[in-house]
Amino acid sequence: MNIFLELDNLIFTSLLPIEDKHSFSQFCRKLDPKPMHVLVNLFKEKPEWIVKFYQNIQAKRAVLNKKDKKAWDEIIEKENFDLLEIEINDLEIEINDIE
Amino acid sequence: MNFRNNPIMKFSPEEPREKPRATEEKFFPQKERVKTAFDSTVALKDEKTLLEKMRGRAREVAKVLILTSALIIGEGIISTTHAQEKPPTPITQVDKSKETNELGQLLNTPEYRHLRGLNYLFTSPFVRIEQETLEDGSSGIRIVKRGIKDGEYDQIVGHLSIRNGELTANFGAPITEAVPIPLEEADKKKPIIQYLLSKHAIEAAPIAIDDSEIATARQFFAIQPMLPQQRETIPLKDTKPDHNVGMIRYAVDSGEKKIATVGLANCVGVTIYNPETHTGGVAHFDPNQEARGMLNNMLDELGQVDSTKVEVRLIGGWSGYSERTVHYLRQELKSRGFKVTSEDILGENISRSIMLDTATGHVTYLER
Repeated sequence: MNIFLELDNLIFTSLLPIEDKHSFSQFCRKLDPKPMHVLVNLFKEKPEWIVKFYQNIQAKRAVLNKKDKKAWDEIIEKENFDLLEIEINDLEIEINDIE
Repeated sequence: MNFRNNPIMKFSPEEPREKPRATEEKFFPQKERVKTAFDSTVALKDEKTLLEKMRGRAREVAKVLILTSALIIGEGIISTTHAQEKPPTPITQVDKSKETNELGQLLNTPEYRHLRGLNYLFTSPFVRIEQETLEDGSSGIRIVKRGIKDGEYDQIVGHLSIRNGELTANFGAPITEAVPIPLEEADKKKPIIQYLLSKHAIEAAPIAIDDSEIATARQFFAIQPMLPQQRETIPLKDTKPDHNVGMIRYAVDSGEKKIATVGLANCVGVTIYNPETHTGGVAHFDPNQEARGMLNNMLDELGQVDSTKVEVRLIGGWSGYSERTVHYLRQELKSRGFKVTSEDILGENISRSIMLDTATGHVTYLER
């Protein structure tokens, strides 16, 4: 299955409202397909990330439009937190595998 | 590390930084400089710093986050540059140049028109062909195999694009592979299906499910819209509900409470009201999620009720999409002895928002 079809299927079975599903799908189709497998795997494993990712896009759109540095810093802080959560989660899996 | 060349280490804490020159202060007052200090370069730099801190898969996700930021910045530049320009004409509406084109004519006569330029070109119990107008004025087509069981996902099985009035594969590439879709003989006579078959974009496949599922699919496909003559509406901004029910959620309460759910769109809402106890509930069902389980939870939460005295309403949904949810909700309510007292279901170009008042059992529509 091509990567965008796979991504679309994940987006369209998420808990986003239908209009947001279409908007998110359109947005993703503009991205470089190469790193999309990372997103697909993440969305498969943690479906809550679909909503999280879309909300991140919407927040960035609002903040970059207003040029609000404080709000931007909050987005980066949240990204940092969410990414660290992935990293810690993956490390835990690695440790469990070793044990 | 060479600290000497590190810009952060350039000044020691004791050494005062150079003060801004008078001319700089005059032409770029402090307030203004703070405001303009944040731009796309700063934004991407922040993202890059974050990327450098991450490892493994988190680093890969951080790369995608940078891409999204870059794309959003690009969107901003484009929208600023083209702010004075006329928006592209959606191919589905009044694009005169495409009216003579066979595909253009087919796009202008969808089976259903929904919100924000989303049209259903073809629907059957097993397949839906969706078309949406993209931001650049071109069109995208999704071929969807419809789920039949309660909670079975609709599966997107193919993408097509329309570029300059011509049908292409995804992103304007030539069509090289036909998407197999379950078609009945009658479907093959529909103009849009004939067109897609002639372009080898789709090919007819057998309906590979058992007879009972076929019968169920036909049953839900036959559900027609039920639309009231009039809806009593109040502005959404004037309402302060006690509960705001989100997607695949429900709330039950009693006394003088207001329970709302907003933006049902293709989702289906159920309101239940017991006039004897002034207890009521509102649920918000997503068509791609199982409906019966949550409905039963809500019914159980109402407690012991005389099902013949309870008022049940089904509200919401889109034609060509939500029939299955309506079917399973009706079926489950019937199996538990509840009679649906009113319905406002399916239809085109609509997103309903509702509020139940548990003091009266009255349901009001909320207008955005």
